[in-house]
Amino acid sequence: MKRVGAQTIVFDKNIYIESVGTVVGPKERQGPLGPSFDRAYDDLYCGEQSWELAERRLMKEAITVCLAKGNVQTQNVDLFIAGDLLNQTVTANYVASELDLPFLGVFSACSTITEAMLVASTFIDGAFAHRVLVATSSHYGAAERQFRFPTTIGVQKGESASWTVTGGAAALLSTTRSPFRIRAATIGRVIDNGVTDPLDMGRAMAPAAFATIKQHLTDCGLSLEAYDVIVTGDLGKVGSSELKSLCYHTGMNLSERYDDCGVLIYDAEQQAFAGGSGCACCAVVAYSYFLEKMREKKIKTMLVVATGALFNSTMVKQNQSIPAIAHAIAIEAVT
Amino acid sequence: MGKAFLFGGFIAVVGQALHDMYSMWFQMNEEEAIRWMNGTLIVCAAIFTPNRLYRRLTQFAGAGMIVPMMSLANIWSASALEHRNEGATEHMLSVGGSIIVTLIVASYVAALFL
Repeated sequence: MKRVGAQTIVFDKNIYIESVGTVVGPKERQGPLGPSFDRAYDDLYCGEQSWELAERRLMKEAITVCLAKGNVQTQNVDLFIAGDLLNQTVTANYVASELDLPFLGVFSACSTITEAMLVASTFIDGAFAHRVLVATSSHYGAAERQFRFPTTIGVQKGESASWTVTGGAAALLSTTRSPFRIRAATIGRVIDNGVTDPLDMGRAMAPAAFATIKQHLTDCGLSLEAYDVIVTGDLGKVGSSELKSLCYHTGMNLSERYDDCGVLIYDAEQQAFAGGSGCACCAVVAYSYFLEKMREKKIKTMLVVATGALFNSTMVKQNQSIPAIAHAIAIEAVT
Repeated sequence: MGKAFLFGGFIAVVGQALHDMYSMWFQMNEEEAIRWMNGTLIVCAAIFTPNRLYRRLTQFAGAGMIVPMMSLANIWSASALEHRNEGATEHMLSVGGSIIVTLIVASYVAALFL
């Protein structure tokens, strides 16, 4: 059986990340990882009329780059799985309408990319598809005005707030050999820690990340040492230290093999509060910075744990808590 | 808090300076000078909204920038700007509308006792 333990799937087939594409906005370009992205825009509008259209362009362009790098035509893709933060995952829907591929929309907030990858891998492992395209995107302006306030309104945010990453990311998954193999995936459980502050999502998501990491290791019978690096999506500075302390209290020393994409993507001088967040955060950093490290053989195995705050502005106004989820994907380098 | 106190005070000083200049140069009476001073500050807040200067200042000064009435101009112009593709007038009061409601109710109640 491919299912291992309570929540994990270990894939029988060799499923590879055939190619990836990352496109980002101006703030991400200026950040420490700027040079590692495929393309970047200097303007937050990306030459479009609105934030939402800009986000659509980012996802579309990431897909174009990904297909071009993999030298794959759209008609050779069997399935398109995508999702984003905007209401009704509208960016993914419009991009799908232009791609003319069978489409599955997925949503688990900022952990959408790992959800898409684990669904795609399951399709390939079960021989329901040969090659699957996954994509996600987020946009600072579009997210800010949907979830919080218009981008130019004067509000003061605390240090636990995050900055939505402007970017799009796409990956092609198939059985065509590449340096990156997807070995296993752990489906997260929704964990509600009772956090009600939408400007403190790191604290809301840390328990979900902890639960998924712990479950993954238990299900696979592994210890933390099995991974060269464990990467969380967008916990930020506050959530990361929360996760480290949760691990520390259960006897796991995460610190020496841990990174958070939200912390990595911006410099301290960029005034991004606790760090980056959004669907694109984990995706663009994992697909560029970490896969590159893997290609250079600096790391052999990594566990990508994208975290999502299942945040809804209507529910928050009704003083409801913010549930969170984390899906994990184990990727290993093959030579 | 210190920053908010000083910055709010600084805005008040600017307001007072504007008031004095208007009454000195244009021979305005007290009421006219106050009106023009308020108008100037409000227009400035709206002008500094699109380039995010107002937002950056608020991040720095907190209540020092939120409490003065310039904030109202910022909220309305920001909402109008942000929703210019979906109908600015329709969404203009989506954030700042509560302030109008509060103002009307408060002035009604105040009028009962004055």
